Amino acid sequence: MCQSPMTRTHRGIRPRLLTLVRLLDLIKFFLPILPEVELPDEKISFDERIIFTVGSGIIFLFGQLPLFGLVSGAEYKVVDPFFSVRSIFAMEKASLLELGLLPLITAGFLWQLAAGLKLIKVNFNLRQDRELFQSGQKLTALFLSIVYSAGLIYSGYYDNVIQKYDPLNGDSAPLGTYVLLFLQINAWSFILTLLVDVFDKGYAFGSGILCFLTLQTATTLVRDLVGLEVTPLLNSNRVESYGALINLVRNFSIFNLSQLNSSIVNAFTRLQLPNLNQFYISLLTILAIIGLQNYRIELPIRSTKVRGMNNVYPIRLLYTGALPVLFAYTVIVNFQIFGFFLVTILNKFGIAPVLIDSLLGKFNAEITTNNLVLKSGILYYFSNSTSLLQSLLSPIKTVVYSVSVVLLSVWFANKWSYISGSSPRDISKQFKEQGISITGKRDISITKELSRVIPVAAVSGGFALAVLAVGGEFLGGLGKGISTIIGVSSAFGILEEFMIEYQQTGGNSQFSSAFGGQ
Amino acid sequence: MPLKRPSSSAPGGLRSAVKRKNTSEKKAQSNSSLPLSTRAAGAGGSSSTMMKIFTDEAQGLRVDPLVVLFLAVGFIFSVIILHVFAKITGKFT
Repeated sequence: MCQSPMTRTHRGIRPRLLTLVRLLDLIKFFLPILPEVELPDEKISFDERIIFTVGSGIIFLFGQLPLFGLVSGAEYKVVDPFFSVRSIFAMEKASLLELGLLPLITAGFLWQLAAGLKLIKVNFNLRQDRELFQSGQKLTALFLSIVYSAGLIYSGYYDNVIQKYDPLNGDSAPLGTYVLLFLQINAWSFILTLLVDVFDKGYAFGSGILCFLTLQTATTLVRDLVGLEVTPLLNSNRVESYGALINLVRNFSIFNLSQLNSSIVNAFTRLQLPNLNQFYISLLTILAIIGLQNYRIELPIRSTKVRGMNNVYPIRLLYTGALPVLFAYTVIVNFQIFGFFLVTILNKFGIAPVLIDSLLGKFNAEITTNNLVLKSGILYYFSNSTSLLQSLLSPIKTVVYSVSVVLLSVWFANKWSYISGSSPRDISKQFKEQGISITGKRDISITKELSRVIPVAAVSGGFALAVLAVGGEFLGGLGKGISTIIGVSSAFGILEEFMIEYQQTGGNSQFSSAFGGQ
Repeated sequence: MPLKRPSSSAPGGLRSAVKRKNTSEKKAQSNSSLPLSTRAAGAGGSSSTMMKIFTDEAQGLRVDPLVVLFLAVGFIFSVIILHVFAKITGKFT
């Protein structure tokens, strides 16, 4: 009987298998040429952090500059297969931000999940492994950006907007312009990676990716509502304002009340430009998230060193923030993009067109919006609906799409609560270091107590946000609701970091003397 | 006051052997398990609500953050200049 524990523990330590080449070691070759932002020598002051945040943010927004080599107004003429997910990843049509933050986010999730689920072997206790790990993410992001942009150019995405090129006229392929487009998109992706690096190394507030997504969401929300520029409608002789509200106001005329109804309906249902429907979905989403943000469980804690020191340790419902939703859509968008590449490439070679149409997916260009809408195939079931009517008319697709988003985010929320460094075990370790214990519990059972609360909070938070996202899509939000979820909850995180920093060191900064009100 | 012992079984014996085995197993497991993320190892990186790609370390070709910002601005300006040149030359041809 006494022998058994001994043998068990011995069996626990397995001999390490010798692997010839680790994935991480392959990255070593690229280390000397990969630029990396150096760490601050001394602590960055509060003012400097504000300047870095605002400066990088403004530079990021300049990425909405149109690509060189395309005709003017290309953003309205591009035939667009990703119209419904653009706003989630800051992908701006026919601009430098064509890929947005998608390569970075995909690379980050790939590596961090692979390490967290122990699919790749990384020893995070070693400094060298951590450095290789972050360089691996950077390399993967650059690689993905090359793959996406090459795929887009090869699939003929830009063909009808390239200057002085008419595919129907029998012109030869504009290779020079292709190369220019490729270089521009990838150079900007590379610069974005470095900008995110500036954020993550502690020069600015929050994480680079989420800060940029927040910024993009905020600016598009305003532009969608009150954007002043007037754009010609496709295949029509009319013009409309970009902003939904401005358009409604402009079309309003006291002498022509019979048109009022149709112009109001148009303001809510137009698909070629932002509509009021999307705006109201965003607004409701903002309110819902502010509400959800307040739900938390407060665990009573006490100090083990000082008698009578009692406090509460809050565990939020949104324990993993908006990351589950971001992850679910990263998966779905990658699925859509690679599906699109596969369909167009197979169509180019003319392999079994009927089979591709019915199995993979068939893209139909809509005349009024220039959106490529899926009509059949597997891809169709993972695409969102353009309006409430569409979601009601295709119930199977709506259900498949919604259930897959919810399942992906719930799965991710559960996993992430264990691998993100705030798992029950990590927190109980922190408690022990700081001499904190949960009131009425022994030190040993803290982990048990926390693991009763944390995964449940994470999963239900992820579920609530996924339902919110899917609900917005069901009503025809076209990604605006989702980008609002990610934007608002990231904004809360960034604000929290900002306030903590302000309370700790902001007292004698220029910022507080300017805005402090004293 | 006399101390009351609630347990009815004798000290040692079968039950405490099982307990000892369980705790030693748990200890071995927690000692042998590696951190699953950079933050768990105490080096920054993604937290539960913040998706970060880079950690608190730098190796390889180090650049100053200001260099990055100027590089970005320079790139933006080069694209703008290309646009302007295209507009000007387009007018004359």
